[in-house]
Amino acid sequence: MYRFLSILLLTINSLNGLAQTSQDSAAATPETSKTQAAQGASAQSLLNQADVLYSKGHYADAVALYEEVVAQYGISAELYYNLGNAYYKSERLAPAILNYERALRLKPGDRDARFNLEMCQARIVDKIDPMGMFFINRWFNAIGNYFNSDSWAGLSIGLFFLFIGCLFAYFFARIGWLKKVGFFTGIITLMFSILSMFYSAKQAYQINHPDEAILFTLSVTVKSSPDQSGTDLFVLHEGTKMKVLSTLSNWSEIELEDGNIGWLESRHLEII
Amino acid sequence: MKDMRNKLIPMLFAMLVGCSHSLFAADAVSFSGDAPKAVIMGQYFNLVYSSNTEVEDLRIAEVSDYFEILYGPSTSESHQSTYINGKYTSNTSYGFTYVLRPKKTGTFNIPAATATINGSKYKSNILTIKVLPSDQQGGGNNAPQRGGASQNPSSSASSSSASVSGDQIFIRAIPTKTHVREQEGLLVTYKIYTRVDIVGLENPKFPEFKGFMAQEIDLPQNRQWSMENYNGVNYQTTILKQTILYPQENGSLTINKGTFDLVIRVKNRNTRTRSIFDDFFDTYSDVKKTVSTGSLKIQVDPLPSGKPADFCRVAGNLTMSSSISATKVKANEAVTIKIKVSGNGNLKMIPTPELTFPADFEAYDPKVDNAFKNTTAGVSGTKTIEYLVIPRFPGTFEIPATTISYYDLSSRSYKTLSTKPYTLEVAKGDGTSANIRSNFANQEQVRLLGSDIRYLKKNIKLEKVKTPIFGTLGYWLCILLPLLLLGLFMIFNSKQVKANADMVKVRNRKANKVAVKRLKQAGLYLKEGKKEAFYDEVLKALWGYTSDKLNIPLSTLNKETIEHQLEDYKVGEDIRKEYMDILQTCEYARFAPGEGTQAMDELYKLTMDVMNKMENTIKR
Repeated sequence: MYRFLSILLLTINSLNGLAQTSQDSAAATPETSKTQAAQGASAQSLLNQADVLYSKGHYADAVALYEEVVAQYGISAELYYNLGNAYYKSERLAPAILNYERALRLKPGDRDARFNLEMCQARIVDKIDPMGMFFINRWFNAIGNYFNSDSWAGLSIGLFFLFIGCLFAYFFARIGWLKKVGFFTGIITLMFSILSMFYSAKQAYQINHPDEAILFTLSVTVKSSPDQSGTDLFVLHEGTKMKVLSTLSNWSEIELEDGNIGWLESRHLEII
Repeated sequence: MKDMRNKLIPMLFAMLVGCSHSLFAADAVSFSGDAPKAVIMGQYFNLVYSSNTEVEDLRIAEVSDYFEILYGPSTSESHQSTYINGKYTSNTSYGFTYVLRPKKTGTFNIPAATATINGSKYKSNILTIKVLPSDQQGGGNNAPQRGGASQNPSSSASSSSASVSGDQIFIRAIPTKTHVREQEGLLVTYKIYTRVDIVGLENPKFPEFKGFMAQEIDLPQNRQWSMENYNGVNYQTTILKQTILYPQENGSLTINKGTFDLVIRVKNRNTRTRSIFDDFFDTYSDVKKTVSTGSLKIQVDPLPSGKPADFCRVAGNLTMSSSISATKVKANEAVTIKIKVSGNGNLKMIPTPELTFPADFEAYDPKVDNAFKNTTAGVSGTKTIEYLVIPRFPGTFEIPATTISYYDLSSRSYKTLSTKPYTLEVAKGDGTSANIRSNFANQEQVRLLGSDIRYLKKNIKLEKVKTPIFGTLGYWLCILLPLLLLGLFMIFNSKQVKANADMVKVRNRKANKVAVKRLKQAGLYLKEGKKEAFYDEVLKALWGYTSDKLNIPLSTLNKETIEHQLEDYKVGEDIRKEYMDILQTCEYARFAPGEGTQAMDELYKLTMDVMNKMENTIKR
């Protein structure tokens, strides 16, 4: 009996701790929100200015303003999207691709950003066919792109709650059919919860360990070793997306979507 | 008779002539004069008036101020008959030749001569003759060999055999301008100057006009030779080639040398085989000589800055006009829009002005018709562009204007020409037109006119960079807590069940004791003769026992449940019956008077017996 009590106490303690942290953040928010509101006004005016410049065709100026907002006030998927548009219109495909990718990181379900990204990718020099993927695999990844990491995380928690509810129903219901319903729904909700947990984890990993990069230099020869004397493997052009596997001093080992691996100097790359 | 004959011949002749006259009566009378365009001072030339009909009275104008009539007129007559494809034609021409010698240098007009032909008066054309000064050096020894002048047979030493000096024959390239603007046309004339007889021109190598766009001017098939005084010497000249050049580059452009192989006929002066005939028959031989023109330098200035975007790379002057066949049509009816660009300049450069039609129009490639003429003044003409469009759907459509710009040489500025914008009202087609689309439903796919990125997004909510929720402590707690809750609840529940089970056991165990105690109490009541209390106690003992023993809550306790439970516990039917009988007896006896103590005693014993039996059957 004593043991149970202690466990209960422990959980209550931890709950308290959680509440406290949330309270802390709640206490902190009024201040930050105030400053944010002050910033928000000027950021909003900058954004409006940039929109006007964009609609008038002064794309380079719009780029400068959007970049200023990114640097000083904060980010959002829509901001990255607009910045990508401005870069695209000023014929700078590599930064456009970078910003669309960033927008998609924050909001993977953004169809406009995905459409524009595809437009960009159709215009760059290198056409890289991704390694053959089984269609179920593709579907699986496509579903993962419907929400961002946090949405998946929330969904997984919600589903887990439902699962627990079903377990309660299964264990403690005295009516036979309720037990059955509880059992099967429980299994299904648990499966979906784990799936969304997986998606959330996948995206969270990408955000916490960004390893994808866009090539910013017009043309780069990829070497077989982190050295200028290395054998020339292939030539890449501006805007190509790649995965950074490792870095060695100022060289990066990269892998293309078609599986080719090589080394190039890190200064050519911009991490998404 | 003889007389007759004498008369007859002229009569016949007259008839013939009359016939021929009547034949020619249909033709217009022609009367014209001809003379060389240039003559050299002191040398005589022919002035010829000719007509296709007999001339009765010819009077030439007074020219004695400038020319001396040496001889004339000498008349001549020539007939020409042709019979082609069964058609007979005949020409007669009458010529009157005067031999004249100029008195002064300069350019003079010979006024029209008058002639009476068939009773009416005719006037000839006015002739212009240029009288060139005589050669300064050589004193006309080496006179030109063509034209009206006769050849001087006693040639000087300069015309030695097989060698012709450079100043006797050369070719000049003459530009009209040497300082032009880009795209401004200039004319380069290649002219041959000769004082010797040219038999042929072989292998002409005209330079490539690098940096220019060249337009050659068509020259007449027969070269027109004329006299020209160049550097004080008279030459026979003719134009070999005339080209209009439009410079395409800036700076100093060079037109390279051109080379020509000329075959010249020179008189042999071979002294060894001099025979008596040599004085009469000169022998000639053909000599090949290569001459080259000098190279030309043309200074080209760039066009001034501020070129309009629609600059069509033409310097000159242009006009543009447009017309439309109809502005109100029915759907599926063709409309033509005609654009005319005309003027002078490098017209071949003019791009086809592009009209933008609404997407619902079926537009065909324009028909372009270039009517250009290369003249010495430059390329001039008209470019006609005809667009044929068929509006497929009713509505009101705008066809915007299109513009081209050119550099106006006279005002030295850029000028923009524009077509007219048109508004086309398309009514619904009547459906009878043959060119209706074979579309059964009046629907069609949305056509993609182009592709572009999607537009900007509004309502941007900025946020700070934040770590994802997944993997944080809060997230895992959110997962763990309900699990923990479930665990706790399950543990608590199982304990409760256990505890409950314990309670049942205890009660079960104690059931007999409690019942025995109650029965003892009932026994006491029996001895005391308290009938009501006795039955009450027995009932309580029975009810309590079954409740404890069978784990039935008192609230749900009645006979039916007890009977069911006993059945479940596999209590024998006789015991059940006895038990139910006792319950019934007790309930009746409680309220019924008159039962003796003996019956009560019996019931007491029976109860004890049943309970013992039940205790033995329901072993827990």
